[in-house]
Amino acid sequence: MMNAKLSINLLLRANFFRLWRSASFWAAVSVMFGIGVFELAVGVNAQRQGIPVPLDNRYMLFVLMSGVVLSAFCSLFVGAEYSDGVIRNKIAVGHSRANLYLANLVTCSAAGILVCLGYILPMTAVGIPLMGGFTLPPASILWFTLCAFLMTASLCAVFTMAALLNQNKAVVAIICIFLAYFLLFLGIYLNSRLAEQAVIPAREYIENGQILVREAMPNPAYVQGLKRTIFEVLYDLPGCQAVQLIAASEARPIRLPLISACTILASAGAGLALFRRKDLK
Amino acid sequence: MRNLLHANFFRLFHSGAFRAAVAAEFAYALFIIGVTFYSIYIKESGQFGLEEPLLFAFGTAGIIPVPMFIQAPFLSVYLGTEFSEGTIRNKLVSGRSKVAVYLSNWLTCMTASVLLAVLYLALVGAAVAPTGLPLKMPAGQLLLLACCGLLAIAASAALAAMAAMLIRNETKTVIVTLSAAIFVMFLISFLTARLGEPEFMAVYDELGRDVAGMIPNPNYLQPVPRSVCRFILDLLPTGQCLQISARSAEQFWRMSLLSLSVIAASTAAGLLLFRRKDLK
Repeated sequence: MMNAKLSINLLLRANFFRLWRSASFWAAVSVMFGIGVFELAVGVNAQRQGIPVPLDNRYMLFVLMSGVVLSAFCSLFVGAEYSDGVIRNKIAVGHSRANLYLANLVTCSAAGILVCLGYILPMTAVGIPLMGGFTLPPASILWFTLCAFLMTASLCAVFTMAALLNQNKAVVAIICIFLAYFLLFLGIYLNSRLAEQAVIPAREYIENGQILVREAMPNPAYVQGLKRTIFEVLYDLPGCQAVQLIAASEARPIRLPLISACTILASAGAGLALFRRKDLK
Repeated sequence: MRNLLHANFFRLFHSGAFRAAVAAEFAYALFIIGVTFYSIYIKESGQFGLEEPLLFAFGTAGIIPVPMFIQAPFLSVYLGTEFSEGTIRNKLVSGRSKVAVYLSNWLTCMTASVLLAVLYLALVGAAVAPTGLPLKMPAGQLLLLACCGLLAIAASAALAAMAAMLIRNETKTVIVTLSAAIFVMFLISFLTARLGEPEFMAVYDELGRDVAGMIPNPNYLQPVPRSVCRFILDLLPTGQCLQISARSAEQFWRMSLLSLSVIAASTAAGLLLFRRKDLK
């Protein structure tokens, strides 16, 4: 037990040592930093034109891009373990496959949160003085930030699983990038479908100079029944839930972080089971 | 050069990346055929012409550049393998010049990309034509549009080939080309929306009454930025493909000339940089 604990500590230390020197990590941080500066500039410009844009509105936007940026990072970072022969060396010196998998999972998740901080840093350090503070209470902002970090970690867990189960870095990059975009667009689509009102309200309008009234009527685009339940389940998936997180409010749904945590556990469990049986050549 | 081309095409037809690209193009064609049949026979809303499903070879309804999403990973993996498996080194060791190696790869990539689009056109044409869907534009115009689209796809392939030959690492090339394809898709949506802004707009109250007459739209682009946006839209191969798929392309000769310019400029730049590159 003691050896296993020591072993994973060594693996983590080696992974973080590699992370600080990894060009792909700093590229990912730079991209998120650049997006943060751009979004801040857009917000400040809108405020100067008299459009009321609260900082909260700009702050949470990082969840939309973090999955996409990390899909590229994870495939490069974990993929290098295979192409550089690092995995073989680690196993040859006696590390267990479970520790190896978990060390990569922890490193990628931590890197994911650091990459998000690359966006948060300019947004808070410069955004608060320039755009004014948050309109939401600090506890809500903190809650949604933690939910976003957990969602990012869950996406990293899925990308790590893909990268450790497939030795071809390029194929992993293609799968992860398409998956990240697919989840994002699915979330946007589901958001628009679930936001449809059940009833189209009555409305007055003018035709040929006469004021006419159109009665309230059922909305044919409203999703209901089993289809709505399925849409709601899919809407909570990591990646899709990014669309819910950017609309941060005072409500603090426990559901979203729970689903992210379950995704981490499920992907780690499945990934570990398959990785232990994998022929690493 | 002929030997290089022969070897490249041999490798192409045996490559998993090309087979995956063919499968993806096939799946996309099947999807469009399915949607077309659904519209004709089940929804019975066949208000569109035969040219619509055919021109979706270049993008879906002017929004999603599907050929670029298939082409980018396929060409990155196909050319990346040349570097990772040492094929490039072997070609150079056996006495081929860097120019010949670059041009043969460039030609193979362009041909493969055009073949994928032709595969789509053949599949959709063969499946949809027997339904009796009428052609709602002159056949000559459809042919011209298809040729412009194929040229734009070739230009896009030339850019992807340049990226793959200069980056060398297949994973990095996949990330760069896919990210570029997605970024360009968003850029084109933005530019199209800005170009579509009306010059004047009406202000209505909640009863739908015109309260202030027509007022100038602050988002309307003035002549110079309008020309710049239009030029970018026409210059980018993805922009051309999406215009063709939405049947909003007008200046065929200008688009074809711009595609040829993109091919010439990217090949010249790629060749220049590839000749100086240390291939280790």
